[in-house]
Amino acid sequence: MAERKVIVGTIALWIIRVILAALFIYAGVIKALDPAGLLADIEGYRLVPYSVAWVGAYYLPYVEILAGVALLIPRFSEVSGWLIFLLMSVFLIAILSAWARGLNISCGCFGEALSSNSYVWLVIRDLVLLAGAAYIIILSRQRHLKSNS
Amino acid sequence: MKRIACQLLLLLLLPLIPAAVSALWHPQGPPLNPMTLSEGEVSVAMVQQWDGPVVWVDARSPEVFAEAHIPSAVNLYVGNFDEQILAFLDVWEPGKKVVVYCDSRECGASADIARRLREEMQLDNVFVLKGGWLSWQSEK
Repeated sequence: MAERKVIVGTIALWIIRVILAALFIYAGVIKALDPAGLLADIEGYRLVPYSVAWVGAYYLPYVEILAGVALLIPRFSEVSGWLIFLLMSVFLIAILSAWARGLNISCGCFGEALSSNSYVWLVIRDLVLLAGAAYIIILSRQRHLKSNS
Repeated sequence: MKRIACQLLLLLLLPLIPAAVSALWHPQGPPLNPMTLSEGEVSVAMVQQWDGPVVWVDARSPEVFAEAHIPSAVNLYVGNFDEQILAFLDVWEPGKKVVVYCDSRECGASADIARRLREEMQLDNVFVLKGGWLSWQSEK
C-alpha cells in the first residue's frame, strides 16, 4: 500500500514538473523573442521605473527558461520549485496591485499567447501555478530527506 | 538549506549571461533611454510633419475615450477589438497611416493593438505614439 502511494506520488510529481517546465520554458522563449513587448507590459503595471523594467525585460525571460529546464533535472527540482514559487508570488502581487488600482494592463505572462484581460482568470491561473510549485517543493524536500536518512 | 541557497544563486546568476547578450544584440531590443524612439514608434512632432491623412486609434477603454481623445480618433480597446474593428475599417483606407496611442509611455495597450492590426489585419504603416495621450496633450 505504502509502495503504491510512493509510485503515485512519483508519477504525480513528474507530471506536474513536466507541465510547469513546459509552461515556463514556453513563456520564457515567447518573452525573450519580444523584449520590447515585455518592457511595455512591465511598464503597464506602473510599479518600477523604466530602467528597472528595461533590465527585467531582458533578464526575466531567461530566469523563466532556466527555471523550467532546472525543473526537469531531479537534483534541481526543489530549488526550481522555490524559484517558480517566488516568481509566481511576485507576479500575483503585481496583478493584484494593478487590479486594485483599476489599471488596464496586458498581463505579459505568455506574451500574446494565452493573453487575457480578466483579472479573475489571471489570479486563478497564478494560484494554480503557485500550488503546483508548492507541491513540487514539498515532495522534493520529502524525497531529499528520505534519501539522506 | 545551504545547498538550496547555492543552487538558487546559480539559477539567478546564469540568466545574466544570455540577458546581457540579448540586451546588446537583440534586433528588436528596446533602448535604455526611454525617450529614444524604437522601431514602429513615432512622436507627436513626427506625425504633425506627415503629409496625408492619419487614422488615430485610441487604445484606451471606452469610458476614458468618451471623456477626451485626439480629434477624429476611433476607439479600439483590447477587450472590444472584434466589435470595434468594424468602426475602424470604416475610416481606414489603403495607404493611410495608422497611429495607435494609449495613456502614456507606461501603457502597453497601444503596442498590443498595433501588433494585432499588423498581424491579424495585415496592415502596413501602423505606428505607436511614443508617450501616448500625455505626450499629445503636452505637445499639441
